[in-house]
Amino acid sequence: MMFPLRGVLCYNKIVSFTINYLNKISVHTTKALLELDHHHPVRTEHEVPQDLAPSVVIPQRHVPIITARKLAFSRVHVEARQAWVENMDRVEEEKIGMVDLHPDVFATMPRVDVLHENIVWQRNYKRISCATTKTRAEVRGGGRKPWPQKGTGRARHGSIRSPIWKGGGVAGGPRGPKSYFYMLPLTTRVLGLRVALSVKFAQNDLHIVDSLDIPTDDPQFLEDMADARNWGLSVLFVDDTDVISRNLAHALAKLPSHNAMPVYGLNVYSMLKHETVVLSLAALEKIEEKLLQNMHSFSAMPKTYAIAS
Amino acid sequence: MAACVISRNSSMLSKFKLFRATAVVSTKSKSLSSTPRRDDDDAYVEKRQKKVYTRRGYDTEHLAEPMTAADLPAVRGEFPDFVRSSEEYRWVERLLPLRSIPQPPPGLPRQTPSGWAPPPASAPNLPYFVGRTRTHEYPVFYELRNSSRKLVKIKYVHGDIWAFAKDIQEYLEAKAECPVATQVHEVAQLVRVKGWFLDECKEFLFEKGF
Repeated sequence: MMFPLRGVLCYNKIVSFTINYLNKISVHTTKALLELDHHHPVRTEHEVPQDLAPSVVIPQRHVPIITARKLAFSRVHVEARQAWVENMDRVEEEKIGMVDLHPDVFATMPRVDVLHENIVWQRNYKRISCATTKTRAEVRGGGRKPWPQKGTGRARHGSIRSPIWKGGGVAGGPRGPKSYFYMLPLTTRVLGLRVALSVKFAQNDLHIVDSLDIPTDDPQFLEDMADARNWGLSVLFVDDTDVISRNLAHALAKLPSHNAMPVYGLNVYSMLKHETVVLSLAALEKIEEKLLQNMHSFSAMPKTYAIAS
Repeated sequence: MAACVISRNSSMLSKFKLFRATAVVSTKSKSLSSTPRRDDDDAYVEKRQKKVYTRRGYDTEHLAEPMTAADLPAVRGEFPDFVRSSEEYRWVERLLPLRSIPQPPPGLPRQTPSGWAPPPASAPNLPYFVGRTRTHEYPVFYELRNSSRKLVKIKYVHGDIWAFAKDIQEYLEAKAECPVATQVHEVAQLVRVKGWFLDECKEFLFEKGF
């Protein structure tokens, strides 16, 4: 459940996670969390005095925050994986916490065949090929027998538009708009997402950050950050909703290799296309919740049911 | 969460009787909904159903009569007081379908009357572990390939899958008194057994404590 704090502008992202050692208080912004932890006010983007540079802010942080997440549908025999929670407000990497990751989502077997199936499906299910050719009946002309059957010494023909003629119709060619639509089973698509996340995590290409807000709208900031942290040439930022901060939006607009995506847009193709995938904590919660819910739901649930959320 | 509006103004109440919970569902109905039946459901229903004595005997309160112009308030814009209450929403919750398959409650016996064995609370001391399907059953399935090759597939094998294949092969060969071929698929975490040994495989898993 996420509610905006009073005074927070709409551009700010809202992060919520549970802190075990703070007796499971659910905190609604990183700012409030840090204030709780360190008992002194923290300056955020909107409290910067006017004499400083307009969009440069460095919040103060001291000790790393350990966040213990309660995993739903936990397995008896498999341990949870763990990942650092990193920062996005500085170029240098800073580990501000650690989270548990569900093994069913982040530690599945590397099923390359499932990844392949998903990518082929993603490329083809939207495809409508408009390639069309004319048959001998549709090509203009060719209704009359060009010369008599016998007596001319030439080969016998019935029409000048038969497929063996130059300019004639095509035999067996593409016919009209053709759809390549098909749906992979839901379990295969869910498994594809799980395998992609597992593969990214196993190869150290998955990073969890507390919030996707950056202090400046300069795209150079993102490039420097990727350079300093060895994130590679392309980065995919995943947030829980389809609203990002103004700075991040402006920076990403100028960088074709860096992209942002909400959780509902997460797909195998994009995860494999970008070298690094960066999830916000809220996105992580949502991804796990949705994938686990699909894994433990009654299969083939009819869509006529309206489930109260 | 839905909110039910209940009028508190007694003068309005006398004018038109509100539709009470006469359409309350039978407390004996069984539904697979998320909210289970509460112990006080019967008492709650009795309390809410106002018994009216008619010539036919005691009858539950019937529907309100249609509202007429005389029932409207005298002064335009004057409305009776109301309170918002979600007390009745539990009857809606009982009917909603479940979002996910429920987990079996703890403390069930190892063998139930139907023959189903609940999944173990902790992993047995073996180099492998066999998980359950999403409906908490053994992951053992028939497989018929090319309309003649009979196989049994055991899925969700974690840990040392080769040791599992060896153990199940020994067990089945002792039972069948003939060689039994097995196939290990490490990446898919499954083992295939040649021959339709479905019940024997389930017994093996039960004996091992999975």
